[in-house]
Amino acid sequence: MSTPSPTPETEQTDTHAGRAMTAPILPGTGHSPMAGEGLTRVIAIMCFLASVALGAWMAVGQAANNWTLNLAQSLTLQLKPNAEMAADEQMATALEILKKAPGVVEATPVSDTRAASLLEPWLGDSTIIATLPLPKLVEIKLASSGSDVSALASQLTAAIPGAVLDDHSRWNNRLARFAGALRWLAFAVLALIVTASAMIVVFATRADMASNHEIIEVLHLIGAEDRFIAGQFQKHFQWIALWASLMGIGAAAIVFLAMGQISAFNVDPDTQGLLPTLAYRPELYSALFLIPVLTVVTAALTARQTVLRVLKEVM
Amino acid sequence: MSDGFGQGKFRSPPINAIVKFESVHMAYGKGADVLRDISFELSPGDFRFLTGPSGAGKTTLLKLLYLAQRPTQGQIKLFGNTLSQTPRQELPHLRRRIGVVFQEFRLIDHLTSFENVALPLRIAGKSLEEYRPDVVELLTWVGLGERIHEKPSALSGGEQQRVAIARAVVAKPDLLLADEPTGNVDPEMSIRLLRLFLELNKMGTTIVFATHDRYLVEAVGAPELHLTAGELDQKNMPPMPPASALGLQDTSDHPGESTL
Ligand SMILES: Nc1ncnc2c1ncn2[C@@H]1O[C@H](COP(=O)(O)OP(=O)(O)OP(=O)(O)O)[C@@H](O)[C@H]1O
Ligand SMILES: [Mg+2]
Repeated sequence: MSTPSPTPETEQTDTHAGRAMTAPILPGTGHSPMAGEGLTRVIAIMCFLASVALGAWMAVGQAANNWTLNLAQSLTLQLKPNAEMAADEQMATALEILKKAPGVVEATPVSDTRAASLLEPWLGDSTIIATLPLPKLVEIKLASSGSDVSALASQLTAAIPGAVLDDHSRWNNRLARFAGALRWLAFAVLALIVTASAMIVVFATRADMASNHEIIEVLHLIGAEDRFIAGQFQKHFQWIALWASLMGIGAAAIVFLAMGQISAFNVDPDTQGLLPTLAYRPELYSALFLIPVLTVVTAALTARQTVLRVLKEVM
Repeated sequence: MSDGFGQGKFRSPPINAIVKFESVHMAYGKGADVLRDISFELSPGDFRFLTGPSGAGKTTLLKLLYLAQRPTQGQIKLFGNTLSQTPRQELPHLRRRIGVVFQEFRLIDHLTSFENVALPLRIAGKSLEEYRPDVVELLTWVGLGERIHEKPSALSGGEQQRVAIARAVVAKPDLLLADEPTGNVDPEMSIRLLRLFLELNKMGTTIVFATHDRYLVEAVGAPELHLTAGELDQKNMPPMPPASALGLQDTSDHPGESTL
């Protein structure tokens, strides 16, 4: 307050009056977290759920990409035991060809023990496996471009009897379809939750408005213009929605960070990148901020429309 | 002898009417007429009591005046505007020239007395600096100087009513409509509040004062708009009581210095 106050008593009046100047016409416009408590909670919860759905959608999409990408960029060469060529010679020729082939980043022979351990779940004890005439395997990693899988396959089969190049296409196609379906499912869940949230925000705002009916009418009768009244309500609900939605996405962000910490312990090379993870991802965190924007716009427009509709019915 | 009411003030010269009702009928929804064939005029500075038994239509008549309802038939002119031809967006400006003390107060619950009273001024775009002294003075005058920062829920019925009166008069309206504004206060306070109304009236505010209190009606001696079952029988100019008997004529310019 600019006016100097001679006595503490007047000073108190001053601060009170100063508060009155900015005192909102509606209960606790935004400044107090207790404002529209029920509405705040509902909005916060719906924003939390929407955030989780958004995070899940992005995580599933990312994991599905990884599956197909990993498979598409890897090949397995099988060298079947064969009368025409010894196993050692098969392997040497194969590695020779692969070394020269364009787009091949890495070609690693799978050791007998690793092959045995991969088969163990199906065949049991590795001493039995050791007696079997198992094909030798070579794992091939491709660069993302520049490789010609079919040319490589014909080159290998021509040079090495018993060579079979598996490009995983059977798995890859099925997995791609599955991943696509999963992505759509996650998106549908996201869309439903966002729609439901928006509807709940609309209903909750309207319900909260109903308790303010008397205020609308009094303001109207003492000469406030529709614009003024609508503006007051819009401001009020904007603040509630902003505050509540920030709480909602804040809670979701904490959950994501915690889950990121948990999945950081997952060091198993076979599953890394394959399981959906909500770990820190910049695009997720920037997408999260769309939620308060949408919520604030929804709440503000609803409040405005409701006021204007109420006012349209009176003289 | 100085006559506080001004002899001619209660008579309505036909020109410059601030309010003019012409054969007004009013019904709620599809119901029967609550008001029938109401015609009267008010000039600037008029003071009218609005009387009649409960359910006669007093509040309904006031609702027509404060632009909460449209008549089902007939014409109302307000400040020279024919309401049926006034665009909706002009109505707020007319409403701002009208102060209303609602029968049920209609204070805003979460605002303090100060904020409630200041509301019409805020709506008119005045700043706190401009309106604070007026609001504080007015609340002090109606005896609520100590309760400026109380919310309505912490006030008695009579105190709420005084806040409602202060809100109605704070913007110095051209037309003041009061619906039983002294219904909840003791006789002493009702005289004090009546003085406030007379004070405003002296400064040119036209007042319609609905009341059941015969004592006040007799004391002021202003003409009555008397409603019986929705019909008006205007009692013109009852004999003026000696104003000095009530001390009502001795109204000073500053309400706070009132002798009552
Ligand atoms: N909103 C409404 N809807 C329908 N009827 C109403 C409504 N308000 C009032 N009425 C009816 O209109 C008639 C007049 O009511 P009004 O409130 O104008 O009376 P009043 O003279 O103010 O009475 P009181 O002295 O008790 O305040 C009554 O019969 C009442 O039942
Ligand atoms: Mg009434």
